[in-house]
Amino acid sequence: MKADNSMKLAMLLLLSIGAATQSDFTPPRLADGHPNFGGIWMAASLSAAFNVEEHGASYGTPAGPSVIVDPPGGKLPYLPGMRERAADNDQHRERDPVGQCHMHGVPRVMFPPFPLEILQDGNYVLILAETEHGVRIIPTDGRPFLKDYSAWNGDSRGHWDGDTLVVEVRGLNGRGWLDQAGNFMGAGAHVVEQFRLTGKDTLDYQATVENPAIFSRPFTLRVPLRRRPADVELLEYGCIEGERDAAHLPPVNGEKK
Amino acid sequence: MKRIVGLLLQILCLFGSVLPASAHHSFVAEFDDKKPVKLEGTVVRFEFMNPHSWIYLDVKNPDGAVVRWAVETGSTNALFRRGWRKDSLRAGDHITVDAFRAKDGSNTANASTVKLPDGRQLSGASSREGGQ
Repeated sequence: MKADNSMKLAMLLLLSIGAATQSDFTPPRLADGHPNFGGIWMAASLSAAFNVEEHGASYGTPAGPSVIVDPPGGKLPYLPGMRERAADNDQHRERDPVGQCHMHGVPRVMFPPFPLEILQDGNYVLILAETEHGVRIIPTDGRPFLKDYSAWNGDSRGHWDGDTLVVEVRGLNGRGWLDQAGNFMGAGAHVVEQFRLTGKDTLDYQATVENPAIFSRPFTLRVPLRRRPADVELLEYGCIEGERDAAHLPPVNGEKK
Repeated sequence: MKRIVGLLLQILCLFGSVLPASAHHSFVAEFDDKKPVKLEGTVVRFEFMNPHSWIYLDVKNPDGAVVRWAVETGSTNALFRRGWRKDSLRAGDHITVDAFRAKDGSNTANASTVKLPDGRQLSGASSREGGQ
């Protein structure tokens, strides 16, 4: 009974925090009237970088909750056989594209263990990822998508839905992992992201991934980003120059790098 | 219940300290947590670069033979934000490194802490514990 009451109190606290962040906060705005997301950000919890699903602690990986908010239960809705592929990746982390200096891909690029900078000028939202020098140029001027394009971070087009920036991503190359634990996407992935300021220093990030080749239904992940202190600035990240790991890793796809 | 704990954890993360995280590559892809090693030796070269900085170190074995080790730390960026600078290590410096050996058995290791000549102990910002 006592435990029940504590739980109710915790729930009330959570609800009141949620209500406060949703109704009382007025975001700073640019001259065009849209919220100003400008600043240096990083995932509030780096748990998703390790594993987007709930995971226990293992060496080098602290425990963390699932960031999958849909479907309920927090599990990726893999098609039959696909979870086994992810588990096999987990046993062969040398396959991780990021470990080989490739780009993160969307949505993983939004929650690496390195900072991001967001800049806006009314026609574009720019997201600069320190790691791998990932640059996302997101036009918000209504221009069409590129035709027959393919890249790690795909082709992004944004529009405003009230104070929420909605970004549709097409042209993903399907080679990106979702995390370091081997969860993965495949060809034909389509992502819709939502960015919304929930406080002066908190930016809510959600991504809905539709990828019928790998998943039985769309799923949504949510990773709150937190503003970094004013003295944090983006630094160079030349991935190739100090790369000495490949020589000590098992061959990837039968080829020694 | 699990979900509530998860939510509470997320809120703690939001307002509390950031969890440690892996950097450029997974620690377990290359290194063995069952093989800790303490290396005491003389710095040959310090490469302050991304995605990992490297310390090349000559270590004298008990039999007197000198063996060269390559010790991986975090990225320049992670090190810089933890107080490391490009000249934190110079050739000839005597340092002690707590690290984990590579799975392939070579004289390669991943540093958890590095004790500098002035006695300061710096985090190696390794792939095991921290990115940014």
